[in-house]
Amino acid sequence: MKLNFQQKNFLLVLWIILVVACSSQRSLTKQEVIEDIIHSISSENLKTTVLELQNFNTRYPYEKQLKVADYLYNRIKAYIPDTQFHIYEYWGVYWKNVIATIPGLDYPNKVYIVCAHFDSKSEKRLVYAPGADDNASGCAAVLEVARVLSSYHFKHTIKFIFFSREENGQNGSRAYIRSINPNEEKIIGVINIDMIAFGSDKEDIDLVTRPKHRWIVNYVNQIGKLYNIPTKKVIKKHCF
Amino acid sequence: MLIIEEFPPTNPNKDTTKDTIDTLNFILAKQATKLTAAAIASLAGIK
Repeated sequence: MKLNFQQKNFLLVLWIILVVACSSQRSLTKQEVIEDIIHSISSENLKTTVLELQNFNTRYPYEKQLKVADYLYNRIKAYIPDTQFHIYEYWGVYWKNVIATIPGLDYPNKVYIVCAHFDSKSEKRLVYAPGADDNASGCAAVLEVARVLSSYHFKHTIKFIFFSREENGQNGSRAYIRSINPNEEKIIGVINIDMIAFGSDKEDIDLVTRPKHRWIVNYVNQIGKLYNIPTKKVIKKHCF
Repeated sequence: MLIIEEFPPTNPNKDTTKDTIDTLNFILAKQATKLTAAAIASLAGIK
């Protein structure tokens, strides 16, 4: 059968409509969803957060740590409504961690934590400790991961936490661990992001853990292979 | 102002007053952020 120009055009349009309809009916696989998530990570967002944190000049003194906690609270609350301060006492002074929660739909008491410390230090720490890599970079990553995951639902609960006073003996994270009731909150795994922006392009991402927690490093290493992100496993007896 | 006691630094050889944004590699930072997002989405069981 010989088709005229108009008939050919009609068939072409019909074919396009069918292809679009078929592709919209197919639901994305979980791997495709995760690919979408990671493609929406923005370098510009990371840079903006690092610069804003660096502009505090120092994040070491007490007053500055409270101001930085307020800043991070406001930033992450824009993505995750369930955001709270965790206030703890250290030597008679009250300090703040910031915790944002995406509640799990199937296992709300089983929790994965993504965290970073927000304080900084240097030889002139009371007046100048920019801490761009250590650890504004980690805070920027936590915020960006919170942004891209905030529109999804999960089986387990995810907590995004910014800890204060890491540089002085991990006081913020220790206080948080002391505050939780293990019957109400079971921590399954933690990804602590620290100093992720120093080195050459060809550098692998170090995945550091203690021997008894090597399962999570193995898991994340596999994820790296799946999405072509080069990683290096580092198992240490003692690590932060 | 509260003076906080000293604690052994993470990188004793690094001049931490020079830890500024112009020294950072955001390609690496982006890769680490992607890895974290993918890992946590997978671990927590995206629905």
